[in-house]
Amino acid sequence: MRGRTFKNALMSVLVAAAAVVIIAILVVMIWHIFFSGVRYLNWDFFTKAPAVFGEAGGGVFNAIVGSVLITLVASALGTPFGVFAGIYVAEHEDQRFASAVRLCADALQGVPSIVIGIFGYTFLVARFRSYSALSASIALAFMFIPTTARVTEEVLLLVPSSLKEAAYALGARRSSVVWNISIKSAASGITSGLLTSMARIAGETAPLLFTAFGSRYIEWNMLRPMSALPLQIYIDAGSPYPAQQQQAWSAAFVLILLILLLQYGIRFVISRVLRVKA
Amino acid sequence: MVARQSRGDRRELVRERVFDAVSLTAAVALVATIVLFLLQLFIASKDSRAAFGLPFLWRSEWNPVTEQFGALPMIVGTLITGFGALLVSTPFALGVAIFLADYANRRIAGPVKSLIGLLGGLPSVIFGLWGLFVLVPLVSRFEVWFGHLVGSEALVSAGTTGVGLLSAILLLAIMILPFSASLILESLIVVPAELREGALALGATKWDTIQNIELPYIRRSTVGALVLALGRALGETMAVTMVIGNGIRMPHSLFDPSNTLASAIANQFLEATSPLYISSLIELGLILFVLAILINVAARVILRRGVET
Amino acid sequence: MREAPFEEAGMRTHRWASAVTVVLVVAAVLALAGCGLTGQPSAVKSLTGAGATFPYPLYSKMFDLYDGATGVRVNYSSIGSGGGIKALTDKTVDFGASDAFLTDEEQAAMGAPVLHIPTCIGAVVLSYNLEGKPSLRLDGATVAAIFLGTIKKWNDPGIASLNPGVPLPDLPITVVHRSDGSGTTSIFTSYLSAVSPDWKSAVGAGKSVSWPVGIGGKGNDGVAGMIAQNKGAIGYVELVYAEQSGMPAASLRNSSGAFIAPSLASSAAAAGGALPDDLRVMIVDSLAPDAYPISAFTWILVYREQQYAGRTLQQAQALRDMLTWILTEGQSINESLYYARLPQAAATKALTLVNSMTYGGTTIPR
Repeated sequence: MRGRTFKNALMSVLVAAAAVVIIAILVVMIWHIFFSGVRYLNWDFFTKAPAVFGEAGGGVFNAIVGSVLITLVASALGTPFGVFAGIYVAEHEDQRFASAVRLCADALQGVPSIVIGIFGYTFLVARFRSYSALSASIALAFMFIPTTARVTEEVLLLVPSSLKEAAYALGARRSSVVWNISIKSAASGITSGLLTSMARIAGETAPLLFTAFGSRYIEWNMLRPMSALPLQIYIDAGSPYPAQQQQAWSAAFVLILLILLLQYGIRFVISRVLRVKA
Repeated sequence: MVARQSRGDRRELVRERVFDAVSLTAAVALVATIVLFLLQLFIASKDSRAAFGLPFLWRSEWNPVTEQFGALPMIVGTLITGFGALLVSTPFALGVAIFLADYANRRIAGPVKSLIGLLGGLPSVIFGLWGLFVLVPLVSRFEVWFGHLVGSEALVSAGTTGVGLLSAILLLAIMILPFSASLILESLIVVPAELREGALALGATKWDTIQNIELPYIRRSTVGALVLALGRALGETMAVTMVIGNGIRMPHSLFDPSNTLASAIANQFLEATSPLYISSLIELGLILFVLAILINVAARVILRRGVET
Repeated sequence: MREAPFEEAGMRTHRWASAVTVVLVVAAVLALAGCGLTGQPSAVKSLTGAGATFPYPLYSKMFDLYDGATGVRVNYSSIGSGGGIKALTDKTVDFGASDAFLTDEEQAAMGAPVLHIPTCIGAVVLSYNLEGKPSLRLDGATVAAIFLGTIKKWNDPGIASLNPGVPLPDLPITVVHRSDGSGTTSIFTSYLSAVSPDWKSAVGAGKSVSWPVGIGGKGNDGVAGMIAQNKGAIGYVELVYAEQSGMPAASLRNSSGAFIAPSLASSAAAAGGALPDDLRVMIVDSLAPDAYPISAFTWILVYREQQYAGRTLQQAQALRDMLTWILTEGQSINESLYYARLPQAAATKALTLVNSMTYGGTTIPR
C-alpha cells in the first residue's frame, strides 16, 4: 500500500512537472514572438513596401497584399473541388471507389509541402516560363482540397439519418436531400473547415519558395511574381542584418494576426451576419 | 396509368444529374491528382534512377561538383530528426495529456488547451524563426559546454554555430508536441468513466487507475497518434531547414550540421542546373513521398484495428 | 404545405451557399482585375531577374533608381549565381546574374548564345571575427592553407610571420564558405587555384567545390552573418558585406609582392589590362602593381536572340534599355556602394554586346 501511495505521489509530481515544463516553454515562446514582433510595428510597416537594401524603414505591405490574394485565390480554386469531393464520399460511403477517394485525400494531405513545391515548379512555373502568384495559389490549392474534403465528409456524415430518411420518404431526390438537408445542417461545420484550411495554407512557405518568387514591389497582378508573408519571413530570417531580422519578427506577428483573423474573426462575423453558427 | 413527368420533375432530374456529375468529377480529380503526382515524381527522377539505381538509397556521397549523388546522408538526417523528436516529445505529450485529463481543473485546463491549440496552428516558418534566434544560441552554448566537458575538440568546433541535428530535434519536438498531446488527450477523454470509477472504488490510487486502466485502454490510439506525429515530423520543411545547418556530409554526431530529405530540396532545388542534379533532388522527393505514404498507411492500419477491437 | 420545410431549409442553405459563392467570386474578380489592369501589350512595366548575391546591394539601389527614372520595376531575387543560371536556363526570368561565367555544359544547356554583360567590379575579401578587430595581412599560400585546414589556429606561425607585432589568440579557426552554388566561390577558388598548386590539385575552382573544412552559409549575406556570430571565424565575402557587418578585411599580397587592402581603387586597378570582346574573363591575381588580387567582374546574362518562349519585342526593348542604363547612368552610383565603376574600355565593349542583342534576327529598334 505504501509503495502504491508513493508511486501515486511521485507520478503526480512527474506529470505535473512535464506539464509545467511544456507550458513554460510554450508561454515563453509566444511571449517572445509577440514582443519581438510588436517592437517594430508602426503605421509604415503595414502600409509601405520594403526599403532598398541597407536603408532603414519600409514595411511589408507587399507581403500582406500577396498573402491575402494568394490565399483567397487558392481557397477559391480549392473550395469547389474539396466540398464536392467530400459530398461524393459522404453520399457513396459504402462504395469501394469512395474509400479510394478518401484514401487519396489522406495521401494528398500527407504529401510534404516541399514536394508540392516541386510540382508547382515543374508543372506550372517551368511550363509557363514564369514565376507567378497564380502558380503559388494552384500549388496551395492542392493542400487546401484534401483537408476541406475530409472535413466536409465528416460533417455530412454527422447529419442524423432520420432527417435524411424523412426527406426521402417525402419523395425528395438525393441531390435535394443533400443540398437542402445535409448541407444546411453541415453548413457551419463546412465553413469552419474552410476557414481552418485557409488559415493553414496562409502559413505555408515551402510551396511558395518555388512558385511565387517574391517581390519588393506591391503587386496586384496574379500572373506576376508576388511576395507573401511566410516567404518574406524566411528570406529576412536568413539575413545577417538586425534591421531585416527585426522585420522578420514583425512580419511573423502580422502573419499570426492574419491567421487568427481567419480562424476566429471571420467565423464571428459569419455567425452574426448569416445567423448561421460557424 | 403512369403520370407524365412534369416540368418540375424534369428540372429535378437534370439537377440530379448535374449534381452527381459535379461531385463525381471532384472525386475523380482528387484521385487523379495523387496518381499524377506519384507518376510525375517517378518520371522526373528517371536520370538519377538510371545512373545510380537502388544503391542511391545507401550511397553516402552527395557531391554536386563531381555529380555523385546518394541519399543516405539525407535519409539518416530525416530519420534521426523524426525519431529523435518523437522520443523527446512523447513523454511530455503523455504527461500534458494525462495532466489535462486527470489532474487539472477546468480553470487551468481551458487556457492550457487554448495555448496548445494556438501553438499547433503556428506556421512552420515562425517556429524556424524562433528556433534560429532563440533555440540555436542556447543549443550552441550547451554544445560548447558539453564539448569542453568531455574534452572533445571536434564536438566543440561542431557546436560553435549551434545549427545541426540537436537543434532540429528539439525544435521538431516542440512542433509535434501540440499535435500528439491533443490526440492523446482526445482518446483519454473517451475512456469510460465506469472503468475509472470502478477501479477507484476498489481502492486504487489515481495513478493506479491511470497506469492500469487508462493507458492500456488508449494504447492503440496512442501508438496511432505517435505514428501520425512522426509523419508530421518527417514532412516538416521550413523550421528544420532553418536550423539544421545544410550539411551535405554524413553527420558524425548530433552536433554536426546535416540535412533532411525536405531541407536538401528546399536548399538546393533552385540552383540545380545539371539534369542529374535536378533528377537526384526529385528522387529525394520521391523517397520522401513514399515514406510519408507508408507512415500514413501504417497509422491508419493501427487506428483502424484499434476501432475494431 | 409539405414543401414548406424543404423551402425554408433550402433558403437557409441557399443563403449560406450564396455567401460562400460571393466570397469566391470576389476573390476571382480581385485576381483577374489585377491581371486586367496591366494587360495592355504596349509598354512593359516590369522585368524579372535572379542570381548573384555579390552585386545585390548595388542592384537593389540601381533598380530602385531605375524605377524612379522610368517607371519600370525590376524584380531581382538574390539567390546565388547558380540559381540565376538555372532560372535563365529554364527561361523563367528575363535575365540572370552571375559572378562566374558559364561553363561549356551550362552554355550548352542554355541552348542559345548567352551574352555576359559586366556591370561593376567588386572585391572578394577575407573577413574575420577577432577580438579588437586587428588589421591582418595574408598571402595566397596562407589563405589556401587556412581553407585546406592545414593551418588550424590563429596563432599559427604562418599567419604570425606575416603580421609581426599583432597579437594573435590561441583560438581555432572556423572556416566559413558558401553552401550554395556561388559565383563568389568561383572567383575565390579561381584565385586560390592560381596562387596555390596545393589548392589546385586538392580542390580546384568552381561555383561549388568540395570544401575540406568549414561550415557553409547561404549567400554572401549568410556567410557574413556566420562570421559575425562566431569568434575566430574567417570567410570570403564581397567587400560591401564586410563593411555592412562591421568586420575587418585582410590585406592580401598581390603578384607584385605588395600587400594591398581591398578598396575601390585597388579593385578597379585589376581591370586595367586587355579585355576580350565577350568580356568573359577572370581578373583575379592581376599583374597590375596596385591591384587587389581578388577583384572580379560580375555579369548580367541574357540570351542574344530575344525571340524565345513567346517573348515580345517590347520585352526585348525593355531589357535592352535597362542594360544600357546600367552601363551608363547607373555606373554613377557604383562607388557610393563600394563597387568600382567599369573602366571605359570595359563599358564600351559591354555596350557593344548589348547592342548586339537581336529580336527575330534583327537588331532591336529603339
